[in-house]
Amino acid sequence: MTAPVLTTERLTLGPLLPEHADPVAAFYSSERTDFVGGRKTPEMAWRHFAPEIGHWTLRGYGNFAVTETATGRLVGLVGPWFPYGWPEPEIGWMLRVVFDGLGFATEAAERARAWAYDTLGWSTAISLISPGNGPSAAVAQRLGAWLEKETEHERFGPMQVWRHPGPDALSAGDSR
Amino acid sequence: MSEAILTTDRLCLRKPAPRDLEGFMAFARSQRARHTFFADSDASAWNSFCLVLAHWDLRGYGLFSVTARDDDTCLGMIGPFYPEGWAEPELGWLLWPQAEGKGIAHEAALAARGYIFDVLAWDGAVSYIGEDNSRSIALAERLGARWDESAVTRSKACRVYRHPARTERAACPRPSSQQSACACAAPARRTSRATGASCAPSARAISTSPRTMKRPGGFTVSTWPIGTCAASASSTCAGKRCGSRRTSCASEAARAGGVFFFDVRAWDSAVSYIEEGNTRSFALAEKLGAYWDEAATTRAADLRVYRHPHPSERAEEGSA
Repeated sequence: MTAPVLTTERLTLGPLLPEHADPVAAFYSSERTDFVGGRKTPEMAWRHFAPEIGHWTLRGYGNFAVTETATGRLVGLVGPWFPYGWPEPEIGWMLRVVFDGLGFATEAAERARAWAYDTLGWSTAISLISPGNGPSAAVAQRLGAWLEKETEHERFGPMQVWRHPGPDALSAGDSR
Repeated sequence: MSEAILTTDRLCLRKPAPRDLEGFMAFARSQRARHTFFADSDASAWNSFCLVLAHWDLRGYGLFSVTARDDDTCLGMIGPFYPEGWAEPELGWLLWPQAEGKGIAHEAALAARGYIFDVLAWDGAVSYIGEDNSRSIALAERLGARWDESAVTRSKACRVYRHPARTERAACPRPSSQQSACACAAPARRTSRATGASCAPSARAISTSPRTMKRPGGFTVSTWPIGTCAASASSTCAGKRCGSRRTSCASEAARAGGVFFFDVRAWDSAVSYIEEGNTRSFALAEKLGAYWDEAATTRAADLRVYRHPHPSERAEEGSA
C-alpha cells in the first residue's frame, strides 16, 4: 500500500520516499527527539525510518511524509500509526525543529485525522504524548483532543493518552 | 507462485509479504537471531519485519522470502541486504528452524547470489556471520566464500565472509574445493576486470547500481535480447582465460540472462540471433533448449533465429 497524496493550505502529505532518509536522519540527530526515544546515529535513524514504510505495507496506512508545498522541504512525519504493542491506533506527529511555531503540526495532523476517519473508517483516535512535552500537548489541544489518562509503555515508559474527538463530533462541529 | 522472482529446483524466492510476519517474529524472538535481528520484545520484532519489507522500497531489492515451489509458507529469508551503516552490501540469510538441514539455505543463497551479480550487478558481496555460528560459517564456505580478516566488520564477534565475484564463478563453474586446480583461478579483482569486460554491455543494460536502483520493475532494460548476453558471454570465454570451459561459461551467463528475462522481466519469449556457421553458438543455443525457428523473422539473411523455451516448457521437460 502506497500513501495517497493529500494537501492542505500549505502542506502536502505523501508517501515516504528514499530521499526522505537524510532529512529524517537529521531529525533524529536533533534535540527534537527528546520525547521520541532520543538522538540517533544515521544507522539507527535508518532503522527507525525504514519501518515507517513497512508499517504502510503491514497496516495499509502509516505516517505521511509532510512537505512544505511551496519549497518541497520535508517538515516531518505525521499520520495514523499503530505499531505492534501500541494501546490503540494513534495520530502521531514528529516535526523538524526548524518548522516550529508555524502551526504545521496541527494543520497536517488535522488532515491525517480526517483521512483516518473518512478513508480508513476509524471511529476514534488517540495521540500518545510524553509527559512534559508541552508543545505536543498544545497541538493535541488545538486539535480538540483531551487528556484521557496515563499509560505505561514497555519501552517508552509513562505516556499520556490524548483522545481525539470522533468523526461524528467533528462533523457536528463543522455544521455549527 | 506468480510472485516468484527467482526459482530453483525446489524453491521460490519472492518479495516478503505481510503473511510472512509470524514466522519472522518467531525467528527474531529466538536465539537463532542472536547475531542478526534478535528482538527482546514482540514490538521490536514487528519493527524489524517492517524494516525488512521497507528495504525493498528504499533500495529496490532486499531479502527474499524463500518458499517451497508448491507451498507459499516462508521458510526463511535470503538475499541482498544493505541497510544504512553496513560497510558493504551483504548476501544475508535467515533460516527458520523447521527448514534446517535440507540444503535449502544453500540452494536459495546460490540463486540469490546469482541475482546479486547478474541482475543487481554488484561488484562483490559479503556475508556478516557471528564467529560462533558454525552452521552459517559452513554454509558460507560451501558457497565458496572466504573469511576476509581485513574487512570492516559489524562487531568484534562478527566475521566477514567474502563471496567470489560473478566472473570468477563463471570462469570456474566447479566446486570451490577444486578451484586451485583450475587454470583460471586468478585473484579476484584482476579476474573480474579481465573477464568481465565483454559481458559488461549486457550487464549494464539490465541493471543499475544498488544505490540508485528504485525497484526491480524499474530497470532500464534495453531491447537487447538474450542473444546479446549469450554472444558477449561467448566472446568473453573465447579468450585465453577460460580455455576448454568456455561453453560452460557462456551457458551459465546465458542461463542467468534467461532467468532475468523470463522470471524478472516476465518476457513471453526470447530468441538468439546466431550467424550461419557459428557452430559453437548453435551448440550453446541447443544446450539451453533453444531450437532453430526457420519461420521466424530474422535480422539478416545469414542469421538464424534460435527460439528459447519458456520456463513453463522447461519445467514440463524437467519433470519428464
